[in-house]
Amino acid sequence: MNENIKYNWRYITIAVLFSLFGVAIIAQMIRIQLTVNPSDFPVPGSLGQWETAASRRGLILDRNGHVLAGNQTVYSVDVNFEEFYQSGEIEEVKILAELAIEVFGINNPYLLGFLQQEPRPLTKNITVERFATQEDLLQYLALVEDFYAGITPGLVEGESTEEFSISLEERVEVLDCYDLIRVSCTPHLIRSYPEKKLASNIIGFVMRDTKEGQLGIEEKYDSTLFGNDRTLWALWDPHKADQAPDPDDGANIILTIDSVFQADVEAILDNTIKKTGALAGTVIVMNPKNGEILAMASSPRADINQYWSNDYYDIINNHENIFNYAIKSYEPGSVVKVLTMAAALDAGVVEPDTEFIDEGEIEIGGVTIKNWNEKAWGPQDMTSCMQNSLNVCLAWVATELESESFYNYFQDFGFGQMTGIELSGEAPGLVKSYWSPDYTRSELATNAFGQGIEITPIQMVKAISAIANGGEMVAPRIIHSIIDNGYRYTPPKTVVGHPVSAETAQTLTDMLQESLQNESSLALVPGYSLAGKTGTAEIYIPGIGYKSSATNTSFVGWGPTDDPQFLVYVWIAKPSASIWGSVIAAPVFRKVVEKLVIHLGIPPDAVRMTLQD
Amino acid sequence: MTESLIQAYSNSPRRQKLQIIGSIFMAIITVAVMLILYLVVSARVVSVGRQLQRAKDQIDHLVYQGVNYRNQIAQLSRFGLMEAKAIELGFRPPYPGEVFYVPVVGYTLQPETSVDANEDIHSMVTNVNLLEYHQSLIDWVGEQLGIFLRPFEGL
Repeated sequence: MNENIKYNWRYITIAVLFSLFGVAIIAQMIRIQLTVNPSDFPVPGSLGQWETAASRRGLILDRNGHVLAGNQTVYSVDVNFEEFYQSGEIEEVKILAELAIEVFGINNPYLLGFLQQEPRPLTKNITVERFATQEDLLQYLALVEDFYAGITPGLVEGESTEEFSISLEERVEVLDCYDLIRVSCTPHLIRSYPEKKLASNIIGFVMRDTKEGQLGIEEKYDSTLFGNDRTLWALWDPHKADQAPDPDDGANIILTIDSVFQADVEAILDNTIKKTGALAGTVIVMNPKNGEILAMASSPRADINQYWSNDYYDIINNHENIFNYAIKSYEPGSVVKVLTMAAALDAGVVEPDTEFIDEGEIEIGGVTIKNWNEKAWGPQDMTSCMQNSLNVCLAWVATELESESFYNYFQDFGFGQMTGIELSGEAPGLVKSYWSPDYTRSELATNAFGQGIEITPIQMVKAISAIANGGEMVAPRIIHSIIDNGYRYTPPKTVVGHPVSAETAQTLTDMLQESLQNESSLALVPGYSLAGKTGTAEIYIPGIGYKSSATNTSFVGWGPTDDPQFLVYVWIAKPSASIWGSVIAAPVFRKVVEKLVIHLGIPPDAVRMTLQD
Repeated sequence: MTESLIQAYSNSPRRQKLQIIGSIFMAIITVAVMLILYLVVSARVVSVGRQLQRAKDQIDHLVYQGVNYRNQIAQLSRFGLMEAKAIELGFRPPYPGEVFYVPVVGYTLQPETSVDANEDIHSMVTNVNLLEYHQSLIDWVGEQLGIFLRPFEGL
């Protein structure tokens, strides 16, 4: 009994200790339940941070996979000045600001004013540069690191710039933004256009700040190219590490253009504009069988990497859509005669050998129509009417056709409607309705030779494809394929009508081939059978009227005539060297075809016939 | 005699206490082993999880690097640069008269292999001169009314 009593205190002590421990646990549980601020006790499973996976905007490639629009990694560099102030390191603030101004070339007056202001206002994070390239960033970090290491930032005495660059590159591998306190850099992607001005009128550009596509493919396919950034609450719990977001990259777009041929066509166009003193111009090359655009040059063009530059302000911001002349409407002039003649032949109102006595003028709807040289050409057949580009003859042909039939044909050719080409900002053109109250019969005559009517070059290409392609009109397209998540979509060839019969198309092709040969046109390429037509249109100036000294010169042609594989449209606006399409636009066609036959591997007709045999 | 001695030994108070203590220790050791196993597994999971997080960070880093390298390739192989190098090496573009086409006996041009479905299947004819472009609303209502009343004709 005494023995039990002797050891009882031990049991009691242990019991008390365990009881106290239990009470403490219960007390803590009650405290947690009754606490005023529950956020002091976060649920362990919810601890984490917002994580954003930056997605890659889809690439734009040419038909051979050459990158026309890609991406580039840049960094947003932030300096936490508040922490410097709190730690009393005022001198560090000054040095870091000076280095940032020097390396990033800061010229933003607001930021510059802030960085150079003394004493500096108390602000937490300052973004010293939002789009720092990797090279600039590494240079900045190296200089900051040098500063912390007690070395005067910049070149060491006796060290050349090259040596400095090499030593910088050696340090690149080990340098990391996170190694430095109070300086943070966040990578993100921006658009990059390695080819600069090449095909810029087709591509468009992406705004740096909003990441919105503007103009061209970038705007038209913004939602397709745009990658969805995925942001979610990523838990710190390692068990749930796989919840980190994955990026949803945008789809890649493959264009139908060949960048090498596009560059050749752009060079031809630029040289022509320079030599002829023209204002602007465009050249479109299309395969008339399937509607694929092989080149679409427009001048002037902008370096879309620098779209904000004052040099390109007029091109980018012009309300008349001069970013791409291929989809801008204008009065094309005599190239429209091809379609007037096609309609008349198809309707059966004229035949190639129909005779017309040209008296030099014709009055229609109270307006006197004259020829381009204001002379009478005497007896003509329809081929010579086309060859000599006689306005009087074609106006008469249109009156034979009558308004209803004429405009129904023009509607069938797609005038006044957008072609649906995959480019932003396409103009629909303007064709007046013959039943509208302000329509006069004289407009039938002027429309017949391409005045008083607004058509885009791409509409002309589409319409002429019906003549070059045996009556079958194809929709022009510039998207070859779209590749999204490993799946490829290739838009099909789209036939958009048969405005004329195959016989009409063949007859007109023969007529235009003959007329081109007869006039010994500057458009001819030795060895190749080509059909084509020039166009010269006076430009209407508001308040003055039509001015014969300012013209739009055009040329449309295709070949080889027995098996058309290309269709070329040229528009040179306001040339000063000559006002005639036959002098300005026809040679452009020849130069383009000379390049094209080599690119496409089209042998001269004689060789081709031998090969076919 | 022997049995009574054994019974006396096992029932002695000291012996009984040792059995209880032994049982408690066994239980504690069992729990401790289980806890250690749990900790080892958890630690391994945490370690792998951390590796996964680091790997994902590296992937992000590599993606940014990859984008930059691809951009550098595109910059270095851009048309203007390649053309300048070609001209520097003495090359120039050919003219049509300089190209020779040699007939190869027995060779027939094979059409390009396409992985797409037959193009003809996709081809569609779109009539751009649709009736709807010309038809007035009154004509349309009349047409619809005619369609609706057609079953009642002759009744």
